[in-house]
Amino acid sequence: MKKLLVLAVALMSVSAFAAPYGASGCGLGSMIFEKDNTWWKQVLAATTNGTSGNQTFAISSGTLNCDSPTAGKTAQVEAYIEANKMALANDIAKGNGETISGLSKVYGCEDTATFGKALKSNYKMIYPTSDVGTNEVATQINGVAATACGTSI
Amino acid sequence: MAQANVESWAKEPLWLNMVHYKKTLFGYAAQADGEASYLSKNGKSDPVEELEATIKAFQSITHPIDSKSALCRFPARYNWLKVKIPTLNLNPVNECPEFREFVSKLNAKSVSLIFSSYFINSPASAFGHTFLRFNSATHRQDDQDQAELLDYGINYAAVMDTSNVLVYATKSMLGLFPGTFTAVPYYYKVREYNDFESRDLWEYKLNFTQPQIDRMVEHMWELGPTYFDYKFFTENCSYHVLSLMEVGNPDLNLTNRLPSLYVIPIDTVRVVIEEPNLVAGSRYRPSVLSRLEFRTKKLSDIEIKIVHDLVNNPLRSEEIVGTIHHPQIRADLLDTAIDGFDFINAKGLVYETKATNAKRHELLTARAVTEYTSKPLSMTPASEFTPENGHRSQRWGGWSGLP
Repeated sequence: MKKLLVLAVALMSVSAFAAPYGASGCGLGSMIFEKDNTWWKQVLAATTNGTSGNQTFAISSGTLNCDSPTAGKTAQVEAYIEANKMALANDIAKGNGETISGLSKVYGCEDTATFGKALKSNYKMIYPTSDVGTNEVATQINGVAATACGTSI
Repeated sequence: MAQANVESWAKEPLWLNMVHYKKTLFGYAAQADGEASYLSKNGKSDPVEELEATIKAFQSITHPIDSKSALCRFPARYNWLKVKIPTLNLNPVNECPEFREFVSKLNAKSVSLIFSSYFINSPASAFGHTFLRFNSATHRQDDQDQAELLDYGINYAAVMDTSNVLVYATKSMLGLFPGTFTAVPYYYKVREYNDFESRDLWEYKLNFTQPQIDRMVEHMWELGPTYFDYKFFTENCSYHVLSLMEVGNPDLNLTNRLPSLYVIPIDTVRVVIEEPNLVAGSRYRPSVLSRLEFRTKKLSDIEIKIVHDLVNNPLRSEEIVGTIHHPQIRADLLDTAIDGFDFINAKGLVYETKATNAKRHELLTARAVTEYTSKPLSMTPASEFTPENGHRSQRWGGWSGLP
């Protein structure tokens, strides 16, 4: 029994120590977060540095607040695009998906399906190269939203 | 204030739950370890003294009210006492701008329990993870499920200060890491679990009334500045998710029904499912690997060969699918290849390796020029794989040697 307990601890610690950012919960996580300066790490960092003093709840800074006034929304959209980078590119190539629904809501689009189709047909404009930056992507998406939904931010 | 009143209020389940008192052999012990949780010297062990100090603090609130005021620090306690003590007539949301911002950011209309399954590459993650999602009232009725990426997840986790395996193991066994609650947009969690670690997510929508949800939000705010010693086996994420729910509805009896020696997240799910009328519905959110398996099952051998070809030679995507003229078939094959590529290259994609990015770009461009809009995948997991039908932690084969 003692042996099993030791094994259990060893197993736990191996996977558990791999979450130095403390966000994946229950001590579990992945080794690959160790390398600095990946977009992923930055995204996770954004979720923990929102604590302002000890009187407020630690709430992520790079977040969306759909009720907030238009000001500051550009930064919020960029945070969303950055965090959902791969999933969003996938959904835009396919013409629909959950990340498009989220974006549609942020832009206040009445018709998510039309927005999705418009994004798809503009894929090459939104992602002209493999290393296009988030703010360029945001600018193009903004343009598509203006045409397809009649709203922009 | 009659002393008899205070003593009887101090025995109410809601008060005991809000300060996280548990009965011990000699009386009570509160679980929160940060001093920020208590207004009295012996608050950690004395529910009556803590309640007296709380009432005193509320009765001596001075204007102007700032964020350090007991009113802004303990809105759930205040609103509970307000009903009992008529002279308490302030509204924390009106008086405390930071708290108001927190409430309006969450704008919670319902609550879901989220369970992330096991991490395929790591046996220890058989523990999974649980957290709560507060579903915003801003969703339109028709896209309730669709915009949930924008909702907030409330996560309880240990704040690590080491990456040394041995130090970690020792500290976590002894409960030396502080555990704190944080709010994270749900999309971070979905990307992290579903895509990055390829873990399925199960979402259980819970039955709470609006006042109960409001109280949970107020109480989360109270927990923000404090911490609990993170106990890997017992008072872990699963445990505290349940204790938060017991503040929402003190009639729930959840934490007491957990196994006492060690608790894993699946126990949370089980306890919640077994509680009558608590779960209103559930939803499965497949990981990239589960989606890949689902898609490949529908393909013929020849089609699977094409998918392999695409994943291995994405730079030739256009050429490989060029001979397939049916847009839907072409789209299906490319969609499968994209999931396959993302699953295999998870690491390269996160590090944004130039070569990986370039390959993915070709694959996605080929998909974008295919004139077919993908339908959402409608996947239902086999019932033996759902968390509620899994094994209980303390009866697990591999763990049966444990006490």
